[in-house]
Amino acid sequence: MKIEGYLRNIVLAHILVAIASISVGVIFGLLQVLSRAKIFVISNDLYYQGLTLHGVLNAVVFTTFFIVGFLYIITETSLKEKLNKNLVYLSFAVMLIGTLLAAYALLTNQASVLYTFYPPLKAHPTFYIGATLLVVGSWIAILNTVLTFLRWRKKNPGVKTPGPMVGVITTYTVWFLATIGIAILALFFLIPWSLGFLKGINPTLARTLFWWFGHPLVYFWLLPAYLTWYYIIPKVAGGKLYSSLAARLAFIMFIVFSVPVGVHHQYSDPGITNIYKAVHAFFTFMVAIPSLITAFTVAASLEYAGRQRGGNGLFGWWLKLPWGNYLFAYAIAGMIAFIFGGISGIVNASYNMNQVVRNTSWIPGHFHLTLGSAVFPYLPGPITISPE
Amino acid sequence: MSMDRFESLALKMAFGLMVVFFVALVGLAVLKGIDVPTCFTDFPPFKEGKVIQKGEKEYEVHLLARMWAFQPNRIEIPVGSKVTIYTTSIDVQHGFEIERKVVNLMTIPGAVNKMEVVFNKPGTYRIVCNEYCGMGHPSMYGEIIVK
Repeated sequence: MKIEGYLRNIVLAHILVAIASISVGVIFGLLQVLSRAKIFVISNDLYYQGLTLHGVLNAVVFTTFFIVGFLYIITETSLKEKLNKNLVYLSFAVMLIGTLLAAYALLTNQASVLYTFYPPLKAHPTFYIGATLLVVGSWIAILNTVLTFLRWRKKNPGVKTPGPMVGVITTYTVWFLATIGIAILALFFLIPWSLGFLKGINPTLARTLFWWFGHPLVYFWLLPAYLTWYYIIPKVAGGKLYSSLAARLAFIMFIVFSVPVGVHHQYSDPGITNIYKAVHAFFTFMVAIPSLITAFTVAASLEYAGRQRGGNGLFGWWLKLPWGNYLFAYAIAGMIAFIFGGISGIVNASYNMNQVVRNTSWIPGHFHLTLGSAVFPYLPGPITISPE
Repeated sequence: MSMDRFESLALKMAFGLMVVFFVALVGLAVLKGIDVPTCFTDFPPFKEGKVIQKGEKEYEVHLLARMWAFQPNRIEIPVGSKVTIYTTSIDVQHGFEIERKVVNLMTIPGAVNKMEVVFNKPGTYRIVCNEYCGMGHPSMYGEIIVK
C-alpha cells in the first residue's frame, strides 16, 4: 500500500489527530483506574471530567479521524481513482474545528456529561456544536467517497466493485444511517436547549435518539477492522481470502441488521414496551451472525495461508503464520480480544438476562474488549503508509 | 456464485444458535414471567417517595431518585415480603439497582418504572444508583433492611 503526494500528508494528519486524542484519553483512563484502585485518588470533579474526555476522545474523535483517513487510502488504492482534494481538506478542517470546540468545553470542565450526554444533564453549547461539526465533517468525507465511486463506476460499467470498496461503502452507510439519529438529537433538541431556546427535552426520546446512533457507531469502528481482517491480513499471511462471497454477505448483513438494535441499550427503561425491546433483542442476535461468519472465513483464510507456508496437522499451520510481522501479530491479537468482546456482547443482548449485568463493570469490560480489539488493527496504520 | 459448503454450514449453525438463544429468553419471559420492564401509563410520576403497606408482608414502595439520594433512603420490611417498586426521578436520569437481587432499572424523569421483588432472606440490601447523575453520583446509596 503506497500513498503519495498531498493525500499521504493529509492521511497522516488524520492519524496524528487520532493518536493525539487517544493518548490524552488513555492518560485519563489510567488515572481512573488508579483512583478506583485507591492508589492515587482523584476528586470526583476530575474523575468525571476525565471520564467524559476518555469516552469522547477514544470512542468518537480517535475513531472518526482514524477511519476517515484509513478509508481514503482504501478508496484510492482499490478504485485507482483520485478523491476530490478540496473536499478532503474541507472535511478535515470541519472535523478539526468541531473537535477543538468540543475540547474547549471538555477541558474547561463545562461538559462533564459523559460520552452518553443524557439530558437533563447539560453541557456547554460548544460541546454539542463541536460534536455536530465532527459528524458534519465526516459527512463531507462520505460525499467525497460517493462522488469518487460514481466517477469510477461511469468509467468501469459492469465491473464488479472491488471487495475492499464494498467494505468502505458499508462502513459509511452504517455511519450515515447512525448519525441521522444524533443529528436530529443535536440540531433539534440539544443545541437549542443548551442555548436557552428550548425549555426541556423528553429524556426517553433523547435516549432513543442517542442509541439510534450509539449502537451502529460500534459497527463504524468495527467494519474497518473487518476490512483489514478480510482483505489485508490473508495477504500478509501469504494466502488468500477463503471466500469473497462471505465477506460481501457479512457487509450487507451489517447494513441491514445494525439499524434496529439501539433499544437493547434501553431494556431497563420505562416508557418502551417489552415487545419493541424483544424485537431489538432479536435483531441484535441477528447482527452477531455476520461476525460468526467472519470468524469462520478469516480462520479458514489463515489456515490456508499456514498450509501454503508448509504447516500441517491440526494445529501445525498456526505456528507457520508470520508472527514476526507486526501488522499480522497486532491484527490477530485484536481478533482474539474480539472473540471475548463478542461473547460478552451476546450476554448483554440477552433481553431479560441483561438485568444481571446492566450498568455493572461488566459493560465497560465488554466495550473495551470490542473497541480495543478494533484498535489493534488500527495501530499499525501509520507505519503501513510511511515510506519503506 | 455459489457458497462454499463449509461456509454455508457455518452460516446455518450461526443462525440456528442465535434463534435458540432468542427463543430460550423469550420463553423464560412468557413462561416464567422473568421479563424486562414495560411501558404503562396509568401511574403518574410522583414527587414524594413513600412505603405503603398493602397487606401482611405485601408492600408498595414509591421510590424517588434525586441528586444524590433515594427517597425513602432506608426501607425496613419483614422477611418474605413481596414488594412492588415504582420508581421515578425528579431531576436527571438515575439508575436503580438492588444488590444481590436482580432489580436493575432506569429511573427517568417523567416516566415511572416498575418491578416486583420478593425478599426471602434477611439482611441489608444496598440500593445503588448505577447511572451517572453528576458529581455526587458515587455517594448515591440507599438500603433495604429485611428482618
